[in-house]
Amino acid sequence: MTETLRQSLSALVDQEATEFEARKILDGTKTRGDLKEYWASCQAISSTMHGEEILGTTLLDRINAELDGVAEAKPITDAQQEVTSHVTFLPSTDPLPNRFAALAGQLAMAASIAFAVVIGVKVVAPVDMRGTVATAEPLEIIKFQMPVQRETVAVEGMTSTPDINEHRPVARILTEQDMKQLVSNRLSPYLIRHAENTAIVGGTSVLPLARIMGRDEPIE
Amino acid sequence: MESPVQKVEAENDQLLVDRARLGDRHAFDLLVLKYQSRLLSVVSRLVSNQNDAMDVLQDTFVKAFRSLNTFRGESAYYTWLYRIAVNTAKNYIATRAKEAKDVSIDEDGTSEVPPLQDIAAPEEEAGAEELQRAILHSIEQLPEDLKHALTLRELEGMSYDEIAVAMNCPIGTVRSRIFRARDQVVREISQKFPGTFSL
Repeated sequence: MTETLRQSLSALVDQEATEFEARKILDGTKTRGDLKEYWASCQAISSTMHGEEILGTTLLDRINAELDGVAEAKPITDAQQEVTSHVTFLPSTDPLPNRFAALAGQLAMAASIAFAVVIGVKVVAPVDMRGTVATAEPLEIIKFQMPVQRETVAVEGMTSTPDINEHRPVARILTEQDMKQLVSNRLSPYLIRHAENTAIVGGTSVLPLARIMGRDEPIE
Repeated sequence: MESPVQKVEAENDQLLVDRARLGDRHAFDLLVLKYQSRLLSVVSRLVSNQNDAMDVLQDTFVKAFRSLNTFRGESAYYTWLYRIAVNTAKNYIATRAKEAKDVSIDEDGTSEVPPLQDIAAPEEEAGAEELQRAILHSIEQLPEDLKHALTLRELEGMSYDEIAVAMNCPIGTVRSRIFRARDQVVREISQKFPGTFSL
């Protein structure tokens, strides 16, 4: 330890060190044990001159041991808290707020599972769901509309195959008039194009005429 | 009104406290080493037993470390520490009194209070006294100007400015004299009692 550093430390003992000196000493104590030793020596001189007892580092060791012991014992405290929270699920012995908390947690978990199941079923088998709804509600049909221009209409006897994985469906209730409008706007051009292709490629048959008829007549 | 010495002391303590608050245990160690003897004198007046006083002191510093965030610096750190020490000592006395009362009542109603035991090792006490005598002897052997400067600082509590006026010398000389006085004593003690303050 240099004389300059010892002199700075002596000044710090007397609270006469500059802030720079104080910071330098404090930084030095992290790596140099002799700084703290010199500090303790200077404090011992002061204590002796005041007629006080010299304690050395005995008390400091005890304090540090206790503070370190507390840090090590913390996980044990956490473990005890875990046991306590586990015990709160016993309804007969626990206070009322804990029972409510446990019940709320169970309800939340059940709701989460139910929600996941519903979403899962809709994602895995969307066609069946729409068919069921269309059958049950002939006048008001739930339509799963895509955000982009790819509406899918659920109509009895007519189904389309939406790419559900790409877009999230949005439920919307259509009236019968809306449905007819959509059919005439969307479905009819497809039928016309299909009939024309069939006529060119496959020759004359009854089916294209039937489909064209379907375009002219409103779908009931 | 706060004297210049108290103001500088508070500022330096605040620096140590700030460091300790940030988790710097070395800074807290310096605070412990600085105030342990002063606090022991206080606590020893409240708790007669030396070991009890050490327990109280240990609790005091542990509480202080854990409560550093509550120290706002409105008072000096030592004042804050002093309050913790006194409260801890009072609680300790009350607890010991309750324990003694519980123990004193036997099944047959006879009273039996265990005597307080001072288990401090006699050799430790003798060593501490010998160390104090050696320090005082070393101070006595110091050159007059060094001893005078150190005495004004330690016993009169004068600041370096005040000592410079009293000794009619520059403040840098005061600082140097006090340092050299301490340094000489520390060197002598380290030779006589090697490892006394080893950390």
